[in-house]
Amino acid sequence: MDLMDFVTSILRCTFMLSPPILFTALGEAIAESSGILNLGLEGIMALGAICGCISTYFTGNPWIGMFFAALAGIVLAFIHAFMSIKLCVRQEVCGIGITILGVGLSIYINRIVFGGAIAPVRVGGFNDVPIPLLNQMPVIGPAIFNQNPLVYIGIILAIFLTFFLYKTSYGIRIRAVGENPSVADSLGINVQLIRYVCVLFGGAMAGMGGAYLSIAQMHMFYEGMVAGRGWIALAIVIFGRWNPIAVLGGTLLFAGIDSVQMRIQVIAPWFPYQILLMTPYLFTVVVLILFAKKVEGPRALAMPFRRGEE
Amino acid sequence: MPAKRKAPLFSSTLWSSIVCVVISLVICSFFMLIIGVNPIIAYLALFNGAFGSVNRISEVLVRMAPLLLAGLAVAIPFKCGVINLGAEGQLHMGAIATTIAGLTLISVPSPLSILLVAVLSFIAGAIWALVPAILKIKRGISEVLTTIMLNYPPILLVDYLSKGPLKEPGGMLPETAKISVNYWLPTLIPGTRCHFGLLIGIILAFFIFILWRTPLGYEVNIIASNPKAAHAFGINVDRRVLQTMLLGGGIAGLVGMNEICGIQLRLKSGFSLNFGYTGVIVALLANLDFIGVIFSSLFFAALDVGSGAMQRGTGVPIAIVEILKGIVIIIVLVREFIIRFVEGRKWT
Repeated sequence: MDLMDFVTSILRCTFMLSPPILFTALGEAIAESSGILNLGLEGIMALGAICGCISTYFTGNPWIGMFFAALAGIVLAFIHAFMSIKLCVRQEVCGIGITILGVGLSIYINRIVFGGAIAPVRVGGFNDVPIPLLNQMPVIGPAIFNQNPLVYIGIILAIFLTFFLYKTSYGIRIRAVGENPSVADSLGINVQLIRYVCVLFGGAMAGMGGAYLSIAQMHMFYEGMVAGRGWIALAIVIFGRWNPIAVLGGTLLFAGIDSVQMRIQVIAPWFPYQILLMTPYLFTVVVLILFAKKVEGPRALAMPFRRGEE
Repeated sequence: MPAKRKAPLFSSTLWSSIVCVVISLVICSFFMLIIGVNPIIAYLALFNGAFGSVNRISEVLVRMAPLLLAGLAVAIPFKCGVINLGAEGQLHMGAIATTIAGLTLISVPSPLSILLVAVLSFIAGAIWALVPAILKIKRGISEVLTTIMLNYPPILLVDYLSKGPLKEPGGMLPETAKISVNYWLPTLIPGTRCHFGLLIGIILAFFIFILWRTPLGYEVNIIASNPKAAHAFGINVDRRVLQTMLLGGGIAGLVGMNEICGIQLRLKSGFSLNFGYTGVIVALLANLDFIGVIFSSLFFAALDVGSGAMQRGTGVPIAIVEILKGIVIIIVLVREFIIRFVEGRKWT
């Protein structure tokens, strides 16, 4: 395999692996821009994975799988939103509860529907949609323009959300709510409604991100399959400074490292694979060290807002 | 949780925790109903599975020891406002340190050997907690993500070591040889697996309780209730954050020692049944009260042990305990509302 082929296949793998973290991170970037921190992403992804797997299996249609996964994500996210926005509880702790609840639900549902630790079913994924002409380009052609639809949707969404967040009045309102909710409130902006919408959006996205894992990537469900991607998405939101395009970049960087790590396992089977598996997590820590600083991001992030209180 | 008013008395922590548990059990029964199981029968099976015989009770105690230690490991930093989600990784580091000592330092006589591995596993866990602590203090990086990310490498390391360099020579299974008999913890209840580790845990809880009466505890309580006032009083918040994290990480390391020296006697993957993560829930249910952690860990140990019998008897998957744990965390968050609701009614 020559160098060009090697780079092409790594690149192709990178884009193919991107949707779970990309969707989740994009959704969370919006939610955090409105000021709500959702640490429940890992659990929402797990629930999305099992719901997507089940609904795809029984209907034969992966898009329906995605739909129900998004629905499941919205339900879990609603619990978090209600506790955080209405009851003003400590968002970090609530998120941890949602994660444990989501993971627990995914295992429970898996057991009552399929019976074992590994769902003994295979679900078909999405068919690749080659984009003519563009996919003839050397290297990036087959890597980027011959993927399944969700990869394209993810990239387009990242571009659209950047435009939405920074160039439209809705986006400006969302960011205002995240920076200074009391001022936004005094300007007549409905802080609670915007936060609810953003958190539910984030939940839907995370649910779909988890569903991609089971439907399109692994074609099955097994317990623990999310493997920390929800937490990694949170770190990538910080890395991308809440900017959707930068989040896309961070996701591709991370997915790239994951692809390389997987390839090395194949090329050098004598090297301890456990060490290679550590790389995504250690890389995330390095990313946090380099890019996370005090006083970052939406100023009102994770701070409860009560009207009339200062 | 940092409260803006005076910390609640032990008694209101106790009954509010019980109320939270009851509410959570009721919500969970919904998940039993949807698969056609009578919740009362299921919960009775659960209770019987945990307390129905001396052997079962001893298994609950076996399960209680690591949860008790893990609960302390999370509660101590949490008192300072630091969320230690890294107990799982820290305990794996403690287990690695214990196993290496137990396999190489075989001539150290008991009980000195036990003391030795306790210290080594404590140091291993504390070192692993040092990284997130320093990152938080020096760079203001949230410990939530760093501690969770750092859970995975030690788990993978245990897998690698037990299947590779430390694998039992000539052995067929992916595990190390048994550690030297000097390091085995003595049994507490003869004929059962319940070992000395539980006693270590309970004594440690009381020790921390007393430790909290020293300046460390006083200052951390002030930091918890009013961080700005803490600075104004000249309290070195960074130092207390570091100390509580190291203490928490070290105690999590002890969980590793507890499991290797008391139950497993060798290192292999999967020896930890999510003790680190359950420790978070144990600590939250106990409202970070150190003596309360003893009861909280007993409760969750009973759930884990009894659920097996419940699954065999009624068909309810043991995963329902995980759902319950998530619900408990969420319900516990409204503990303040519950207390206010009940106490408000009392005085009218």
